[in-house]
Amino acid sequence: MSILISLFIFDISISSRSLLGFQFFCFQRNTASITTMSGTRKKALLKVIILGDSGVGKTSLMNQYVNRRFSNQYKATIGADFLTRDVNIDDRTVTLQIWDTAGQERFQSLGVAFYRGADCCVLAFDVTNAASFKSLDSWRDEFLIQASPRDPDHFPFVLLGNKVDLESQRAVSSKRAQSWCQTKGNIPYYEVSAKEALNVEAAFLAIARDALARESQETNDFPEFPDQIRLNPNQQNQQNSGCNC
Amino acid sequence: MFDAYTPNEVALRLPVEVTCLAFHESKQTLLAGGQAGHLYAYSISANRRGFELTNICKTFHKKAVMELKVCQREDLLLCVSDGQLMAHRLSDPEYKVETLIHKIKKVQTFARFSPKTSGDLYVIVSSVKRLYLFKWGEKDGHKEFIEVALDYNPEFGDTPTHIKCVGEMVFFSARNQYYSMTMQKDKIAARTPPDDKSATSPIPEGWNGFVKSLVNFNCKPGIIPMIDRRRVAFVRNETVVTTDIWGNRPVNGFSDEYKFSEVPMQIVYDSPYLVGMLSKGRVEIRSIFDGQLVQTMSLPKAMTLCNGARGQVFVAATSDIWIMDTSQNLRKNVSHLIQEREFEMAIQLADNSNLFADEHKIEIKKKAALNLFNQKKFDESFALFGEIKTEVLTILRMFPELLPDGFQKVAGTVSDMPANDRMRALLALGNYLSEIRTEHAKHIDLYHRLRASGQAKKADTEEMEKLLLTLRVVDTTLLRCYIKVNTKPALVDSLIRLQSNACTFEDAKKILETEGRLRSLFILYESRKKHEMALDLLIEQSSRPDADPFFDDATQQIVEYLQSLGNSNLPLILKYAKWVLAKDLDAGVQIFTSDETEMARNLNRKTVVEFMKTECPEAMIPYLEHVIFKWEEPSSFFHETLLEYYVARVNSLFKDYVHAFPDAYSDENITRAGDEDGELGIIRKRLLRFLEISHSYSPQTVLLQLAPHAFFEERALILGRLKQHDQALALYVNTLKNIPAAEDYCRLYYNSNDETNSQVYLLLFRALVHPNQHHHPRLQVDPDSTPFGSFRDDVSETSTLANSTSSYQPDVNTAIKILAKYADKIDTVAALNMLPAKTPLRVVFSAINAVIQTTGRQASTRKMEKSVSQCAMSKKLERKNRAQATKIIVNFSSECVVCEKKIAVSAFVRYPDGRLAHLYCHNDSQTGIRT
Repeated sequence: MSILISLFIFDISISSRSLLGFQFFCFQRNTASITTMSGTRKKALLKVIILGDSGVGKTSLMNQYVNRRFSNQYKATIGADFLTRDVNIDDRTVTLQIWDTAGQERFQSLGVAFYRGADCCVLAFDVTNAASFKSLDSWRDEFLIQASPRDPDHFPFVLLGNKVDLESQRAVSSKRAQSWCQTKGNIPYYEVSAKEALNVEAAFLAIARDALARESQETNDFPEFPDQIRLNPNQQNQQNSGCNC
Repeated sequence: MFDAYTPNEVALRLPVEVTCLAFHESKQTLLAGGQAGHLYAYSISANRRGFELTNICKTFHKKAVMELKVCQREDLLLCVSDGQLMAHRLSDPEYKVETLIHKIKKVQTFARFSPKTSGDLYVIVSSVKRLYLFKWGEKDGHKEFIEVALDYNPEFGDTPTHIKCVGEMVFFSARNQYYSMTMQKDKIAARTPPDDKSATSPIPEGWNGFVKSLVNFNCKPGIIPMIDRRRVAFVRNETVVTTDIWGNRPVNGFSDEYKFSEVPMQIVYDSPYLVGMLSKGRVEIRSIFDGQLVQTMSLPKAMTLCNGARGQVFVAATSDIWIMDTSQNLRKNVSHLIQEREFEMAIQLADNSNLFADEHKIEIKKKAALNLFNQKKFDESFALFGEIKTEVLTILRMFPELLPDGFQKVAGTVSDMPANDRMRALLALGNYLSEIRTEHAKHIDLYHRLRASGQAKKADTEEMEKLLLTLRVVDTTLLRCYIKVNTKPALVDSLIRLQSNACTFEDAKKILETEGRLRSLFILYESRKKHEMALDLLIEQSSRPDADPFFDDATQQIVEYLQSLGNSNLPLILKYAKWVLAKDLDAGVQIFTSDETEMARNLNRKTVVEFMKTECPEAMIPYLEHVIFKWEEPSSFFHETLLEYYVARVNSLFKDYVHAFPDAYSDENITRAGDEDGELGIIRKRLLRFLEISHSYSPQTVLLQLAPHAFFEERALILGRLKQHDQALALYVNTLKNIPAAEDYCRLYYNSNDETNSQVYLLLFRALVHPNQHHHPRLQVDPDSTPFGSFRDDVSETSTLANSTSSYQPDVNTAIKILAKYADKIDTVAALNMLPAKTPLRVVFSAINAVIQTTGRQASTRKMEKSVSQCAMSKKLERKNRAQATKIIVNFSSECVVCEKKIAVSAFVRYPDGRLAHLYCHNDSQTGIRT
């Protein structure tokens, strides 16, 4: 593995950058919890990762949601970066830690550690760009393999079709996106526009809700180690033949 | 228990009492402060045996030295004596006083504070129930401690006695309580721009501290940061409790607690040991991992501990100093620990020291990882295996069920474990392998990029082949692993679909076949572009009642699959399309007419048509309709083929239809074209629409193909295309008796600018008035001169046929209605002339009325046009007259304004201002301007 030292430097810089970011975040979070010490409720942190081809508007979506800002200027994201925003769900304050990734990077460059520990994966595509829709399968597959979630069938994914303000240039119909979602186990689908702040708020709220629901269920499902393991091989075979996923 | 440390003397029987120690690491020097204010420095002797006194400073202080701290980078030795905090020059043999903090006279204790966000040195000083913050900086030309505002909530009521800082956190004790203080730089103070222009003094720095009480205690305070473990320990009577570096206790209770045999006076952390100073000179050493007692030793009158280099602790008694060193017994201890299976400690000791070669360390870790594996701590085990980059195969050998036959079996594998543990092992293995495969795929991808840019070396290529080989094994095993672990079947499909998936196709196929995972098998075929296998599988499954629900809609899947293949796979598409077409015509046509992608649109249409001709003629019409109407194919080949199929279809349907309803077209029961029940009506409607819209078919062929004695609407349209309007209209009027259709026809073809097409309404009129007379003299066309000679025979044949059966009655009334309705589009005079002489006037009346009205309207329009023209004319004339009235005098003195020569008798021009010029000069000057 001694090849390509020069290229690795790039990777290292990415990881150290996100590491720094993370430490800083820990600190922030800590102070926050101190100042709200009077309240006994534990603050939940949900890690949300946005994936998708370059130029579909991942950074814009995140910026619109967190900062309520939009810029027409395109700037490629390098590595990964996050912003946080607190949302209230059923009188519970949840911190959404939204990780924006670089669409130009190859899938593997962020490493498995980045994907593992995500509470929700947001797949984004550009409704005016059919190729970005086609890549969704790759992004999803790559996420699943790298993150290795405990229960991949029910891991919360959300699909966002961005740039619906450009209706005249649409290349992917809402029906097509929806039927894709159906084949992936009824992933929720939202048509949004980061530019016009259309549906962005609602989509992220739903994302938070989904991830939260999943999280509480996960702790119920897997108190210590996965108990869904079937020990009876016959039972296993039956399930194979009658798989309805 | 084992002898972790061996004590050696540094200095014995000193003349003064030692009060405190500090270690100067870069010089390997121990500094000892004395009761009388002396300072001793001991360095490792040149022959590396023990320490020797290298310096003694008797004038260091006048009173006892209470605390010493080395600040190597700033070259400072900080020291508390007589309630004063002073900074000495460290490199100075005399240890000259650099500066001292005047402000605080009763310094209790202090700690260095080095926040990560700045490189500056700060000290936090405790004095009389308060904490102060000072920054080492420059003031008035020399370095000294400058006070920095520190604002905190005074949660504590007593003087802090012990302070330690970890990053931005400050931990301290006051009376019987430990506190944490979160430090944050006052951003507002730093940001506010100086309003007054006194820019000479920059905005004072400020810090905020948030103090929070942690735990109480009832002994000598001790705060021990353990940075490598990211924890902080607090002495609480005989127990030592720990928090994380933010001061938070573990959620799940007191997991990291250490208990000493009695209340320690002081504890230092020397990874992986906690070294405690107990009463009567006893030193107790405990493991950081499990808190077990490792060693106790007794050093007479020992009182104080001080960290030396890693693995060294100095111990000071009233007049003796020892060093406790781990290095002497280290090898022995590590092997002992390995034997005892205390791998965590062994690894920590080996990592801390430079006595062990890397291979040796890896060996230890490998043993440790194996041990973890046998303890069923699978995740930890794989993490450790991963850390030392163990060959994947070594790990895989422990999972013989995942390996193909032919790999040698080893003992102690998961096969011997209970089923539940085996599952946990497989889950952990899956996580580990997915990480490994990601790493490998990443390197392979980088290599491909390198190669693409031409930078790859030969060594890289070899390396790459190795990586690929490993990835192949990993991916294949991962596949087996996912299949075995029943909670993750979804990942099987994702893994197969990955672009970088390196499973051998045959292996993967065999695995999936044995497991009966046909759905995954299909995905494998698809992602590896084994189209035939994929399609065969779909076909095979489509007929099985017990197939996986995934194959429920196999036909649709085949259609979609074929749609995605494109021109390069056209023979394959056609091969399977045949199957689909036989099963479901609509679905089959969809293969060629999908608009989802460009693939179907770009297929070679001629080949498709040829294919359909032989294999599935029924599909031709829907296919070509899509091609022509949706994709607007202009080539006449397709138009004619479609027409041919329309006509053939219509002909055959018509035959059946007439057979079923013999009187459908009788005079009493007229069925209009396209209104027939069933398919005939539908196809005829489409045919008519096509004839109307398309311009790319050759009419004469169609006329030949259409069955005689029927399809008059179609004929009429085709004749219209040939501008044979008289015949077309005769069909409408005489044969079909459908005047509205005739009007629609006229509306379609009428064009006032075309010599022939402008006559259509008149021709309709004539057809009504003289139904038995076909050729209007003005429209007479010589049959031989047209290229459509052949069809004319045919038409005349039908018309004579029609004529022979009956002679048509003129329908003057309808003709008059037409004339009235379209008076503006008919040559009215010609029309009226055609009327039979005996037509009653009252019948003609309405028409004449319309004609007169139209003529009147036309007359007034003309009148209007005339007046407008006249008006324009008179205006022009007036201008002309005005121009002619201008008098130009050219005499002998008249000169050209350009060449200034006489005009004389040459041609000339006159400018509007009256100047004259030769025509040539004018032209020249014009062209001159132009160039």
